Amino acid sequence: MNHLTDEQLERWLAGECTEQTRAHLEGCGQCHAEALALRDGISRYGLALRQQALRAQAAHLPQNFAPRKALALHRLRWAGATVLAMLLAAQTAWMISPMWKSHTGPIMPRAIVNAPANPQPASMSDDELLEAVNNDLNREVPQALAPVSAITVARNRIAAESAASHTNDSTKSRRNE
Amino acid sequence: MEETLTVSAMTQAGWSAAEFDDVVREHQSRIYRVLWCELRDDEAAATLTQDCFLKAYRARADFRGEASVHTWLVRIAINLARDYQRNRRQGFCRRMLAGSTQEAELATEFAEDKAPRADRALLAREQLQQTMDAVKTLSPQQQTAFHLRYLEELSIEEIAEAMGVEVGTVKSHLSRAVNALRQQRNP
Repeated sequence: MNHLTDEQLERWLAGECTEQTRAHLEGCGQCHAEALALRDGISRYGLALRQQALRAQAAHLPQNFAPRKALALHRLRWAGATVLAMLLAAQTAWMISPMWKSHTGPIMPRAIVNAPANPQPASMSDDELLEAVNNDLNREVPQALAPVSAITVARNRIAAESAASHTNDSTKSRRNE
Repeated sequence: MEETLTVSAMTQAGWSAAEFDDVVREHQSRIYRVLWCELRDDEAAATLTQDCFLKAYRARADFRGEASVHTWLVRIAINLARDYQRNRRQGFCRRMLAGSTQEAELATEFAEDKAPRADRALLAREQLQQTMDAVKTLSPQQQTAFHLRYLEELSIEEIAEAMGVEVGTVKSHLSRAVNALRQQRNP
């Protein structure tokens, strides 16, 4: 008499056996006892694992876990880390830049940095102040127009020199004739 | 049947984030159990359960409803467990220790809780121990197939789908498992 194979027994244990297997189990005490023992062992094993897993789950798995929230939190963390990294990189670049080494104060435009210091002394006596005001009043042109005036004077001077030079050349050529 | 209909409707309409929360609530215990059986590590199972649902949530648009949601999730979980085991370089000793401790706890606890009489307790403990010893002799793949079959009560086709192997391979794994159980009982 052939006893049940492993596959036939497996099918029976999973509740998927054929009529032939069922008939064999009814007639074979050895296979029947073995099948029952295996079934009991597996069911005890399964029950024990389920209980352990359930207990571990209660202790370790959050009940209100929601993937979309977790994903949003995950992305938020990454965004925060990225911003922080960028800030650190910017600060590092700032610290090692030549501008940082040459200036200890706040950065100002180069024109302002290179502008001459105020010629006026920090403190001025009343007489000095009065004299400065008189000088300003006696100017031929207002101080704001001084650059334009200087240009005009220079242009006039060049024109005069040019005219004088032209006159000299004419006189020389007439004499040669 | 109800799950199939729900899944079909969800798949056609596209899974919303709120709908996916229901999927998590419905399946997280079973997924945790699958991972716990694979790893026998409480915290790792919890972490990978969350990873599993995160991965499924990201890939929810790819789910076409060909398999059940549970099978789909189990497949993701098993792949995560495999990756975790592969990447865990120095955890071999810890795993062995944890596994043996937990098995001892299982055997003791079950015998004490479920069998009021001493002889029945002894028999239950012996049967449980034999089964655990037999399962220990199986390869990881065979153990996975065994757990999915007898704890998760999946069909052979579903196990094949979840494990990404042929149906014949699953049958072979299960036959080998039953053979190990028989050998353990009748050495």
